[in-house]
This record gives sequence, C-alpha cells and structure tokens, in this order.
Amino acid sequence: MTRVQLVAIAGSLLYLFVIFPLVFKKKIREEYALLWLFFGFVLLILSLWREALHFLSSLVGIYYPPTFLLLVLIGAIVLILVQYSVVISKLTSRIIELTQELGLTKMELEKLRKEHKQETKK
Amino acid sequence: MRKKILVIIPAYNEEKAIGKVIEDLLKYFPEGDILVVNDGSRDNTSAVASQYEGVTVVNLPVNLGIGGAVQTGFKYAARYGYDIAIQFDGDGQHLAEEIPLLLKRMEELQADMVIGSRFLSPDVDTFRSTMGRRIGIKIFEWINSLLIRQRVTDNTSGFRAFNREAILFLAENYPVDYPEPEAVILLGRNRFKIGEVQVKMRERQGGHSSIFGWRSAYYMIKVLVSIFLVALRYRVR
Repeated sequence: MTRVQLVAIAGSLLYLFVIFPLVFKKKIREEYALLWLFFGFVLLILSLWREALHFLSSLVGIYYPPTFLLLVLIGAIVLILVQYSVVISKLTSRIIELTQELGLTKMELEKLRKEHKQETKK
Repeated sequence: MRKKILVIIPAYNEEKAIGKVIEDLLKYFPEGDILVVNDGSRDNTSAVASQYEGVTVVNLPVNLGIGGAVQTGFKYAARYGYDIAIQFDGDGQHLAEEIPLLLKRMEELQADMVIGSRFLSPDVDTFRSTMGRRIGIKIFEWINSLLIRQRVTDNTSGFRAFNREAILFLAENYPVDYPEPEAVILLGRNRFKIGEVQVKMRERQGGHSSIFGWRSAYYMIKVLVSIFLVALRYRVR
C-alpha cells in the first residue's frame, strides 16, 4: 500500500465518521444526507480498491490516479452546493409566503378583537 | 355598480412621510380603501398609519423587500374582493389627485395594468430623477418593449393600477427582488394589456432610495438578468 493510498483511506474514513453520526442523530435530514453518504462511500471504495481507481483514471485520461479522487470530491462538493442553492431558494419563498400570511392573519385577528370589544361594550 | 378600489402602500421606515401620504389620499381619493403594508419597519410607521380612521395596516414580522410587501397587498385585494388595486409609494413621491388619471386610462384602453409614467409626454414639467437613472430607465424601455412588444416608458415607476385579473395573477406570481421592471415583463408575457399615462412626481420627501452609487450598476445587471429569466420562463396563462 502506498502512502497516498493510506492517506486517501484515512481521509475517506474521517469524512464518513463526521457525516454518519450527524445523519444518525438526525442533525442532517435523510434527503440531504444521501449525497453526502453516497460520495463518502464512493471515495472509500476507490481508496481501497486500487484497480478500480486505476481503471477509471485511465478511462478519463488521468495519469496520476489519486487525482481522480480529488475530481470525485470536487464533483461532490459542486453537486452538494447546487443542491443547497435549490433548498435555500425553496426555503426563502416559503418564508416569504409565511410572512405574508402571518401579517394578514394578525391584521384579521386585530380586527376581530376590536369588533368583539365593541360588541361586549353594547 | 361601484367598483371596489384598494390603495396599496408598501412602507419601510416611512414614519416621516406616511402620515402626509395617507392624509392626501383621504382628501383627494376618498373612494379608495387604504392598505398600508408595513414591511418590518423599525420605526413608528405602523403606529403613525394606524392613527387614521379607515386605514388598514398589515404588519409583516420581518422585512421582505418591496416585492413581498406589494404582493401582500395583492393577496389582501384578492381575498377581500377588490376590483382595482392601486400601488402607491409610501414616501410621498406620487400624487393622490392623479389616481383618477390612471383609472380613466384603464377604462379607455381596457388595460389590465396602467403605469403612471414620468416620461410619456416629455413636455410635462415634473421631477424625472437623475441622469444616470434616466439612462437605466431608457435601457429598460428598449429591452422590455422588445420582449413584450408593448411600449412601456417608465418601467421603474411604482405608481400603478391593476384590474381584478391582474390582482389575482399577481397575488400568486409576483417578482420579489426587483418587482417593478419584472412585473411589466411578467404581465406582458402572460398577455395582459399594459397602458401608461403621464403623471407628475415629487422628489422623495423623507428616506433614501434603496439604489444609489455603485449599487445602481449592480442593480441594472441583476434586474436585466431577472428580466431575461422571467421572459424565458413564464407563460403561466
């Protein structure tokens, strides 16, 4: 086993050790955890299974196979960031909608209170 | 049958100007109901507006920006069965006595939206904003006219009248970031008819415009990107 392979395995394991408890304790919702976990396992498998890594690297024309691991990692990060933008946008439009509804509802409540006060006075 | 008209005033930190705006409306346009959408102001906007009899105030718990505030007004108008909604700035630049001009034009053209424009008749004497802004507005005119094939000379004007169909549509689909130019595209692409009428505007009384200096270039780029996206994307009806 070469030194770079050991580092790759250690890195992948560390990654999984960080992600897994978060998913387990539901600090990350499953729908978002999927991408994280998937890429963690892909990295681990490619670190352990040299032949696969070499094959895939030669397939895309990479001479130094560990670089392929970095490529996977960068791909994962980009994908996850894009997903974040989607999620954040969805949250934003929900917050806007909720804020508007809350404003309108509070206004109605206020109006009802006033009417109620006047009625009890009569 | 008399039409139910709502005047929507989006207001963010306008305690100094809002009172006068409401007084003018009560005096010059008493046939309209007034809705102030207080967009999470940190000053006394809400308290000042609530003093007036017959003014409804909706307080948004957080600041949404002008688009989110105006859309709240459309939602209110849609729910309470208004036939016409007027969008009217809370800083005092629009003239309450000119609202009937918009309504008349709407009738004449059978338009879904009428914009109070500063640039329709160049000979009318009115405040027309600074040079830099006028260039920006001109660019909007070209692009929007190209995209929706209706001429709109004042895309950034926040003085507008909408009919019931436009109200219902915008209650569901209103651009949040830079709503004025985008709303034009949105309505135009969805085959609403847009008209304009020359109005006068005052220089703002209190507060500051949200757009100035280097931000204007940034604003232009952002708005243009949004406009193209809206043009590509929406055809809801």
